[in-house]
Amino acid sequence: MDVQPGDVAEEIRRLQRCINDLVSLFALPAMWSGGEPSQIVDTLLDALLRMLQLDLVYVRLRDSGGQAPIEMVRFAPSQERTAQERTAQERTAQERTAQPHEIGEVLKHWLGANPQEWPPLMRNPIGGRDLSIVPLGLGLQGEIGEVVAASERADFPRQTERLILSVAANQVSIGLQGARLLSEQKHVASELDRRVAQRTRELAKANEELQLQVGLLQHIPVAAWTLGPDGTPDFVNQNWLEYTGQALDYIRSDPEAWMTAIHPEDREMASSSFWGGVRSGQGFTFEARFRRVYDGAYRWHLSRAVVLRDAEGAILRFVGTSTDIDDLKQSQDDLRRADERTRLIIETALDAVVTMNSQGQITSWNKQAEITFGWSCAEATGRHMADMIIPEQHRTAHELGLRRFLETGEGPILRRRIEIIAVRRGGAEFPVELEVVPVRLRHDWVFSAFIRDITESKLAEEKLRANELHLRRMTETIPEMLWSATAEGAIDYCNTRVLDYTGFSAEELMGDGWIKLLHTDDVDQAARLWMSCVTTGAPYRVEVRTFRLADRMYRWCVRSALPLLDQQGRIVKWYGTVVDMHDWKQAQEDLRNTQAELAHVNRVMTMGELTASIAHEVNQPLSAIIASGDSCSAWLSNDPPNLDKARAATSRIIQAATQASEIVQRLRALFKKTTSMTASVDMNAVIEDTISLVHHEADRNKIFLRTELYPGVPSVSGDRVQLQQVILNLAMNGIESIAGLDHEPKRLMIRSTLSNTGELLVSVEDTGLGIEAEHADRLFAPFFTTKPQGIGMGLPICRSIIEAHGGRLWAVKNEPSGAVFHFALPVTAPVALPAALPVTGPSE
Amino acid sequence: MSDPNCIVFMVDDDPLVRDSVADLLDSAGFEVRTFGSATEFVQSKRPDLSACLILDVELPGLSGLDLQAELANSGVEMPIIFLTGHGDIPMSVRAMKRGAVEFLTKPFRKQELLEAVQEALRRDSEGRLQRSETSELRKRLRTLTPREHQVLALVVTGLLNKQIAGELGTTEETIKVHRGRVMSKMGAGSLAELVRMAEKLKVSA
Repeated sequence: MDVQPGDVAEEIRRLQRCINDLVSLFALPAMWSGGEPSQIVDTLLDALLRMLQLDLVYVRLRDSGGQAPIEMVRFAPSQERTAQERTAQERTAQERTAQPHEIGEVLKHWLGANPQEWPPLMRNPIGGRDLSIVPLGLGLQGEIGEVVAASERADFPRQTERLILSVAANQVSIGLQGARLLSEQKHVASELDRRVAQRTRELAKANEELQLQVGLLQHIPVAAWTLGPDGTPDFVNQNWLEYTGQALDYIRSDPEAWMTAIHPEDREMASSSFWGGVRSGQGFTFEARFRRVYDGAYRWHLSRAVVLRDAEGAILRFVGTSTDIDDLKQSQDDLRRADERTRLIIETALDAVVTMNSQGQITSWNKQAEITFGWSCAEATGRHMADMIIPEQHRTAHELGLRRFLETGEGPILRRRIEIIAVRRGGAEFPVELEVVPVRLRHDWVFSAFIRDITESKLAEEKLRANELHLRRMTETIPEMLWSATAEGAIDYCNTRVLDYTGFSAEELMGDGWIKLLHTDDVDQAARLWMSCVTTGAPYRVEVRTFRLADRMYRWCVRSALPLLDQQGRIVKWYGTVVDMHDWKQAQEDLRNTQAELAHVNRVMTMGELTASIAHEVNQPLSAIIASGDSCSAWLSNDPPNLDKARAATSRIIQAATQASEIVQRLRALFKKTTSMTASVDMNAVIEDTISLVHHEADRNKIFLRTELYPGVPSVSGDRVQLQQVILNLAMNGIESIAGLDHEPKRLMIRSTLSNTGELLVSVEDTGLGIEAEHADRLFAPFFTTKPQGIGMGLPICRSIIEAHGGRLWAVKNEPSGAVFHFALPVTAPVALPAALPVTGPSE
Repeated sequence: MSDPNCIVFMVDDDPLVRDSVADLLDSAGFEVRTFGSATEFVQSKRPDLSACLILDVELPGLSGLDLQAELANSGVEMPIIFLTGHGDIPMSVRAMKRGAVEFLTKPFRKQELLEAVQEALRRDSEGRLQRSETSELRKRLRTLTPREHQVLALVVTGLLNKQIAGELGTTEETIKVHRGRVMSKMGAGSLAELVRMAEKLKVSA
C-alpha cells in the first residue's frame, strides 16, 4: 500500500476518532447502570451507527427466561428515508411486520451460526445494494446475542472499525450482563415481595374466613367445631356444648375428650375414623350415636370434617359438623324396612314379577318367576327377557314392540291384562296372563311385568265349558220347558221344548220377548210380578195363559223361577220352568162342579131329613088358612052375618098364606142347585132362619133349643145358601145326637160371637152322645158316618164350604157329654170386641 | 050346639093357628080360651066347667104329650084333642093309648074338629058326673072305721058273714053289725050297689 501524507493525516484523524470512540465506549457502561437491555442496545446502536457511519446495524438478543428474543435494527437516516419511501409504496401491498423482524428474517439463515462462517456480503433488503456485514457475538460464547453491522462502503470494515465493533460488543455484553443480573435481582426481589404480599394476603384472608366461619359456626344450628391439624379441638360451637353438656375446657384438654359423648359401642369406630382422617389430612365422615345430655338419649349423628389448607397445602384446620340424623336414620330404617317389605311382597307375590330395562334385559326376577319359569334369579338377571320367557316364534314381535314403544311411547300390549303363551325352561309352552307396566325413571324406561300362570284356570275354564255343554244337553233333553234369564230379568235361554210348544223362535223370545207368548189379559200381572221378583229376589210364580202352537190356543201354564245367588247373596241368574197345567185346572174346575153338585145333594138329603119338619112348617099356616076359611063362611052364614069376624078370618088367611109362601121360598132356595154367590151375609139372620126350620124337629125330640146371638156381629162375605147349609147340617147332627138320649140334659145351643182374633165364631153345642174317640179323626172324612142311612158327606161338605169362605171348622168334646162344632169365618170389616156377651132367651 | 057350661081350652104356640081355631069354634058357638104354651095353661085358673083341651103336639118346652102325662099325673081328667103338623104314627098311637079323644093332623076339616070337640065335652061332662059321684062315695067311705073298711072289702068279694068273721077273727054277729053300718054309711040299697060302689072306689081286701 502506498501511504500519502494526506492519507497519514486522514489516518491519524481516523485513529484519533477511533480512540475517542473507544473512550466513549468505555464510558458507556456507566450510562447503562440500572438500564434495560433494550435501552442498552439502543444506545449501542446509536453509538455504532454514528461512530462507524453504518448503513445498518442489527442486534438480536437471545432471551433469558423464556421470552422472545429482542431484535432491534437501526438504519442510516438515508436508508431510513428510502425505507420510508419504499415502505410507503409497499405498504399497501404487503403486511408490515416489525422492521427488525424483517432483517432478522433475512439474516436468519446465518444467525446462530459461528460468526466466522458468515458471508462478508449481504444484500440490503431495503436499498437493494450489497452490504458488507460484520457479525459479532455478544457474550463470551455469543450466548447473549448477536450484533450485525452493515455498510455499503467497500472498505468496510477497517481494522479500527473492527476494533471499535468488538470493543462495543464487549461493552455491550458487559452492560447487558450487568443489566441482566440487575434485572434478575430485581425480579427475584419483586417476586419475593409479591410472594410475601400474597402470603400475607392469604393469611389475612384465611384468618378472616376463619373468623367468619367461627362466627357462622357459632350460629349455625348444628353442632360445629374446628380441630387443629393435630386433631385437637380448638373451637366448639354453643350447639355442641349444649347438646353434649361438655365444657369447652374439657374438650380442649384432650383430643379424644369429646369422644366420651359417643355411645360406647360406636367409640372405637368413631375414633379410628377420626384419627384416620386427621392423620391423612383428608377429613372424615362417620355416623355414631351421641348422648344428648337433656334426656340422656343416644341419638345418631353424622360427623363430618373437611380440611382447610393454606397456599402451600399445609393443613390449617379441620372444620366439622355433627348433625342429628336420628330421625333420618329412623326414616331410613323405616324406608329400608318398607323396601324390605316391598321386596318381600314382590318375592312372595303369587304373580311372577319381572322387571326389564329398555334394552330388554331382565333387572329383577322374583321367587314366583323362578318357580313359574324354572330359572333362578341369578340365571335370569341380565339376560334378555325375550330369550327367557317368550316363545321363539314371538321374540321378534316382542323386540319390535319394545322398540316401537321406546320410539313412539305406544305399545299395544302395555298396561293391559292380556293372555299369551309363554315358555319355561325346557321349552314347554303354557298359557299366562300378562300385564306390562312401563315406568319412566329419569331418562330411561323400566318395564314391570306381572305374569300369572293360568294353565290351571284355563283347565278350569275348559271344564266349565264342558260342564255348560253337558248342562245344555241336559236342559235340552229334560222333558220340561226350561228357561233362564239374566240377573236383570232378560231371558237369555229357552230350551227346545219351549220353542216346540210355543212355535216361537229363540230370538223372538229373548230379552222380554216372552211377553208375546202370553194371553193379553195375563201379560200385565205376569210382567209386573216378574219385575218385582227380579228386584227383590223373591221366588217367581204366576199362572198365565200361554200360547200353544199345536192347537193354536192359550192354555193355563205355571211360570216359575228361582234366583241363583253368589257367595255374597247377589243374584247371578234366574232359572225357571213353564208347566202346562191347563188340564189340571180343568180338572179342578170339574172337581169344583162335582163338589157343588155334592153339596146340593147334601142339601137335598138334609132337606129330606127335614121333611117332617118341612111338612110341619107348611101345615101350620095351611091349617090356619083352612080353619079361618071355615070360620069365615060360618060367620057369614050367621043371621045377621058377623062381618067383623069374617074380615078378621080373611086377614088371617092372607097372613097364613104369606107365611107359607115364605117357607116355600126358603126351602126352594135350599133345594136349588145354585152356583156360588158372594154377598154380605148376616150370620145371625141365617142362624135364625135355620132355627125356624129345625125347632119343630127339636121340639119333637123334646130337645131344648137355645141361641146366644151376639147382636153386633159383623157380616161376613159369602154364599148365604151354603152357610145356612152348614148350620143346618150341624144343627141336625146335634139334634140326631141328642134324640137318642133317654135322659136329661137334652139341649142344643147355637152361639154367634166375635173371637179375640176378630173372626166370626159360630158354635153348635149339643148334649148328645158325643164323638167317640175312635171316630174323632175320621169325623170330617168323606163317606164316614154312623147313621144307617147316611152317606157321610155332610161334615166334609160343611168343612169345604167353610174353608172356601176362608174359615175353618172343628169339633171338640162338650162337658159333661156331647159335642161342640165350631166354625170361624173372616169378617168383612174389623169390629171392636164388646165387654160382655148378651144373653138371649130360648128361641121361638 | 052350644053349651054355656062348657069351655074349650086351646094350647098352640102358633098365634095364627090359635086364633083361627078359636075363631072357628067360636063361630060354632063354643066358648074358647087359648094359651100360647103348656106352662101357661097349667098355671092358669080354670073355671069348674065341662071342658076339653085342644092341644098342639109340637109345643116349645113342655110338649103336648108331656102335658097329657102331667095332667094325668095330677089327676086332671080333661079330654084332649091333639093337633099335629107332623102326622107321626107312633106319636098318635101313644097319644091315643094315653086316653086322647082324637088325634088330628093339620090341616084338618072343620067337621073333624067340631065332632071331636063335642065328643070331648060329652066325655068330660060324663066324667065330671062320674067324678062327683065318686067323690061323694069317697066322702062316705071316709066315714068308715078301719074295721068297717075291712068288712066292706071282704063283703064285696062275696064272702058270707060267717066267713068274714072267721077271716077277721070275730063273731058273725059283729060282722053283721059292721055290715049294716057300712051299708048305711055308704048309702047302698043293696049288696049289688055296694059292690058297684066298691068297684068305683077301687076298694080291695
